[in-house]
Amino acid sequence: MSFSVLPKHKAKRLLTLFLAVLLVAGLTLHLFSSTSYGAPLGPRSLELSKNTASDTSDYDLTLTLSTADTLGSVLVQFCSNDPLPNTPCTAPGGFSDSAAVLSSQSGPGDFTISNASTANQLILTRTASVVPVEPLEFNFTGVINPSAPGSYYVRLITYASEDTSGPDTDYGGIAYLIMSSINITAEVPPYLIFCTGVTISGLNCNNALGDFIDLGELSSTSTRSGTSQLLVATNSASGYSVTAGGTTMTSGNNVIQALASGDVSRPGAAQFGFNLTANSTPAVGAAPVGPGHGFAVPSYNQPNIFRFNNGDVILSQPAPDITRVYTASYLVNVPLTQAPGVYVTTLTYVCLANF
Amino acid sequence: MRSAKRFVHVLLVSVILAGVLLPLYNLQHAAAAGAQLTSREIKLSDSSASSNGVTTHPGNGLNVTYRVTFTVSTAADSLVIDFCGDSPIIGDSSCSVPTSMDVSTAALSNVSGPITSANWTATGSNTGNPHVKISDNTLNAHPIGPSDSVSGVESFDLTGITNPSTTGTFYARIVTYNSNIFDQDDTLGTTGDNYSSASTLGTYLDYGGIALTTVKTISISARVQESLTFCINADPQTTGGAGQGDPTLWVTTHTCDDTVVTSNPPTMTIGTFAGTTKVLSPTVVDHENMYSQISTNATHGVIVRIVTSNTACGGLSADGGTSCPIAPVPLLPGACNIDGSGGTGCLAQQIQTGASSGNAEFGLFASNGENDPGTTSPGGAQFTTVNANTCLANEQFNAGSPHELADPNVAAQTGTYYGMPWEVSNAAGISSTFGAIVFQCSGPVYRVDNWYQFAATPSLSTPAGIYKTNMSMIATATF
Repeated sequence: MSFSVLPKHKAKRLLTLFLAVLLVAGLTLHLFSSTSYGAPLGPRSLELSKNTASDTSDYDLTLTLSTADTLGSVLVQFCSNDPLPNTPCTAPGGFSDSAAVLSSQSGPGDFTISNASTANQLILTRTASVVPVEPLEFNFTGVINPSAPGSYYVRLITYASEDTSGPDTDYGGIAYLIMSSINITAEVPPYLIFCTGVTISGLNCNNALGDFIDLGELSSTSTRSGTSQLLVATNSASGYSVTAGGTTMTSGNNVIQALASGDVSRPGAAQFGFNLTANSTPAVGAAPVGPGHGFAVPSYNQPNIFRFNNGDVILSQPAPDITRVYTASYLVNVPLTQAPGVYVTTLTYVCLANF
Repeated sequence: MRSAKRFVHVLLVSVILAGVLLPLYNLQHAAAAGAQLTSREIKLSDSSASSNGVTTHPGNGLNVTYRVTFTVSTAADSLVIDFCGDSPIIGDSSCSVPTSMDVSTAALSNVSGPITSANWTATGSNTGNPHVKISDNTLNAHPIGPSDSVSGVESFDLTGITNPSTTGTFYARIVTYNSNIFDQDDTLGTTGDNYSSASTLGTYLDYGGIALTTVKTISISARVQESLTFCINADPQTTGGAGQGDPTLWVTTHTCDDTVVTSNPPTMTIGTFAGTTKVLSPTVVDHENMYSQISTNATHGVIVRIVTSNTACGGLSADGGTSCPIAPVPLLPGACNIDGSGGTGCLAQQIQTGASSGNAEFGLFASNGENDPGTTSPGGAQFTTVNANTCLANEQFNAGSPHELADPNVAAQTGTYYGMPWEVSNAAGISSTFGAIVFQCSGPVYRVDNWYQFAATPSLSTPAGIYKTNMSMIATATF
C-alpha cells in the first residue's frame, strides 16, 4: 500500500478548483431547479365580514379556475409570511379555521371540508371530475382571525386528486388585512331649555320679551285677561315638569279670590286663575306650538276653565321633548264690592328635569 | 554508401506510407470530385434539447430553425445534409441517430445566394438517420456554386426541425451533387453513384462537416407576490390640530408606516369642546376627520367596505345598540350608483342641526381617492403611471359636487352630504354581513389617499349619555 502526498501548492490549487466546481454546480442547480406549477388562477379574492384581530368572521373566498381539467380538491392555506405556493408557510398567530363551516358554495357545488384539514389549512374535497373554467365561491363561517393586525396571505392550489396529492392544476395567492376597528364616541350632555316671557317668537328663548302684564282697569261687568309664554325642551330621559308658584292678585290686604278648583269666567265674581290652552270665553290663549309633544296637565288644559293653586304642576312631560311653547292665559273678574287698589301678583314657574 | 542506403530506406518507407494512406484517402473521398466547403456553419434558433419539459419557445427545442451557411467551390444541382450523433466525417460508415431528432417536416426558406429559384425544395426524412435533401427541379442548372454574379456563398433556413432530446454535441454532414437527383450523372440507381445514406454517399462534389450542440435551458423565474396595504388613522386629537392626519401631510415615510398612522389609531370623539370634554350640541353638526391610504397590485382592483358591529343600530347608541337615538342619516330613495355618474337616488343627504330639524343623525362622508403627492419625484412619476386606475366613492357616502368636501382641512361641513346606509333590509348596508361599499378602485393602485368625515348631531330630545359605535373598514382585493 502506498500513499502519495500532493505538494502544498497543488493541494491548494485542487481545493480552489474543487470549491469553484462546487460553486458553479450550486449556481447551475439553482438556475435549473424550479418547482413545477400549474397555471395561475384567474380573479380571486377573500372577503371578510370582520377584520379585527381575534374576531370570529365569515370568510367569503372566490377563485376562478383557469384550466378546464379534473378537479378533486382545493388547498386553502393561510400564512403570515407570503402567498407563494409550495414554499414554507408560517401559520398566522391566533388564526384558526378548525371550527370553520362551509355554509355555502357555488361552482361544482359538491365540496366538503376534508378531515385532513388543519388549523391554518383547509382542504376542500369532492369526487374528482372535469370542471370547466368557471368561478368557485366558498363561504366559511366561524373562522377566527389572526390575533394581531397586519398582512396575511392565502395560498390556493387546485388538484386533480381528491386529497391534494400529486401535481397541482392551478395556483394563486391572495393578500388580506387584519386591522384595528374604528371606534367613535360622542357625548350628549344633559340639557334643559326653559324660558318665559310675554312673547317668545321663533321657538327660541333668545326671542323672549317682557315680564309684565298690565290687565288694565278691573270691572265687575267684564273679564280682564292677558297672556304670557313658556318655552321648554329637555333631553332628560324622564322628561320635565313645570310648577307655578305665587299668590293670587292682592292689593295690600285686599285679595282677589283665586280659582282653587277651577271655573269658567264669571264676570262680577272674584276670580283669578289661568290655563294653558286656547279659550273662547274669553277669547284668549293658544294651544301649545312647536315640534315638541308636551301638553299641560289636564286641570290646566281645559278650554275656558281657569285655575290657580300655589305650587300646582302645570306641565308634565314624561319623556325627552324638543321645543314646545305654551301660552298661559290669565283671567281676572271682580265683584262690585272689590276694594279699590292696584292689584298685583308675581308668578314663578319652575321647570324640573329628571336626568 | 550509407547515404544511398538511407535514401533507399526513406523511399521504401514513403512507398509503404503512400500505399497505406492513399487507400485511406480514397476511402474518405473516393467519390468526391470537388473540395471541402468553406466558411460553413449552422446557426440554431433554439439550442435547447427537446422534451425538456419547457412549454415555451424558444426553450423547448421544438420547431427550430437551422440557418445553414457555407461557401462552395464547385457548381452543383443538389445537396444533402445528414445529421449524426457521433461523427462529422464525410462518408464515415458510422452515423448514429441523434436521439429523437426530427427533420421530417423541415422546409426551406429565407434563401440567399444562388439558390433562389422557386423550383428548389427541401425534403426531410428520419429514415436511417435524420437528413434533408435539397434539390432543383431544373436539370443540370448548376445553380449552386460560384459564378460571375455570386461568390458561392449559400445561406438558407431549414425550419420545423426538432432538436435531439439529449444535450451534447451532434453533427451535420453536407455534400453537394452534380445532378439534381443526388448523383453525378443523372442516372439514378444505374451506376451506383447516387446518395443512399450518410455512409453511402455516392459520387458527390463538395463536402464538409459541422458540429452542433444542444444545451440545457436556462430557466429564470421571479415572483411578485400579491400585496395589499391599507391603513386608516384619525386626526391627531392633542397635537397638530385638524387636518394633520391627512396623508398628504405625512412627513415620516409617506406610507402606512408613517408615525402619524401608528400614533393616531381611528378612535375618535365627535363633538365640540365644552371645557375639556367634547360634547354634541343640537345646534351644530359636529364632525371628525379620518384618513386612509391604500396600495395594491391586485389586477382586478380593490373594494373597501365599512361594516358596523352593531346590526341593530347604524347610528350611535348609548346602550350597545338596544336603542339608537342618534340614527343613521336616511338616504334619498332610489337606485344607487358606485361609479360616480350620479344615480336617481340613494344619495347621501345633508345633516340639519338637531335643533332645527328635530333629528339626531350620524353620517359619513367619503372622498374619492386621490394620488398622494408624496415629496419626491420618483414617487410622483409612479403615481402618474400606476394610478391611471381611479378610486371612486360610493354615492351613498358622497353625493358629488357641490355636496362634497374639497379639502378635509377646511371645516366646510355646511353643505356637505353624509350617508350611512343601514336599513336592515339593505343587503349592501353597513349592517349586512360584509358591509357597504365605501369606495372601490378599478385596478392596481399605489398610495391612493382618501379622507372621511364622520358627522353627528343630537336632537333636543336626544337623551344625555355617551354614544358609541364600532365599525370596521375592510379592504378586499381581487388578484
